[in-house]
Amino acid sequence: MRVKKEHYPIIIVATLILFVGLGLLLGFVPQHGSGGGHGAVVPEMMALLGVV
Amino acid sequence: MRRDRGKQMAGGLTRTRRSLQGAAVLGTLLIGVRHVLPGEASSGGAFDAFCPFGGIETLVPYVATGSTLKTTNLLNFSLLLGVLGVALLAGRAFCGWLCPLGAVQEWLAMGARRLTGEKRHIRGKQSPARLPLTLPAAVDRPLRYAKYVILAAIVALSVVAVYPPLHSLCPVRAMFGLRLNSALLWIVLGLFVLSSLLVERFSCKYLCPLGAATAVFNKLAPLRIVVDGERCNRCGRCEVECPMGVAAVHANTNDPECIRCLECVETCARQETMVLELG
Repeated sequence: MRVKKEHYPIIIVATLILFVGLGLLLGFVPQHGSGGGHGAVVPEMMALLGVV
Repeated sequence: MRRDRGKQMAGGLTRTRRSLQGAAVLGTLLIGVRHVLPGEASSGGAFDAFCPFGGIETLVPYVATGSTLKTTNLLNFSLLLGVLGVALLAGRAFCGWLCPLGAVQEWLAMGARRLTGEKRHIRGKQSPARLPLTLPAAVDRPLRYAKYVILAAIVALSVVAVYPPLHSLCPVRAMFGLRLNSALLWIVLGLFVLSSLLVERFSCKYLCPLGAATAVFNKLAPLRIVVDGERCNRCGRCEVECPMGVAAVHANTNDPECIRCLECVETCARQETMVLELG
């Protein structure tokens, strides 16, 4: 399927937002403090990252 | 064959790309500013927590121990997922369109061209400027594998690390972190600027481990550049414009080095010769 080059930037940005949003929805959210985040073990997310 | 005069100048797609790159640089700078403001240093995680590559650095320790490395947190995984999502669809498009470090490298290369003899950039025409240089193929080709070695080394080191392995050497932190509190970061910043002036997108070509991680998707991504072999007259205009120095662009549109910036598509003077296809 032909894609207009003018639509390319929108597709890229929308995909980025969509996948970042998916990560946030799955519980991978910003945390306070200087890091060392833990506790939100989301097996589905890890499986997805593994597949990717 | 009909020629498109508008393509002789900076195309609309290039302007859009530069705008997005500018937004990425500004956004990253704001993150840096936010972390040097009093009382804000620990709010929302450290500077490293906003890096998609931090997700790779901290992935193995997180899977093994359930805890991320220091200065990273779970947000890194969301950002990494975003970059991998783009890579799944369009290969290294993040590098070409949204990476702040890639943008700065392009700007430095543009500056180098202006300072060394280019008065006006003519699309598709070899620049008379002395910089940036093109490394000889005998040096360029083996060096391109360095980024894969760096990626493998970082993943291996992350197993025993406390901080992300790239923490002290990260050019993004040196450039945008606004906290150059070690001599090493000053050296990294200096080398980054110098290398970008000498060779366009030096870091992307030879060093960037995130680029290495997404490069493999160029072969698989369904949204790709397709060249009509019958229309293409091998004029080489696309090669001149390619910031990654991909050889014979018309035959290598899925090369792992391609960052999908679409400068080749914008530069092609023959309509409908280089097009985007999904699937």
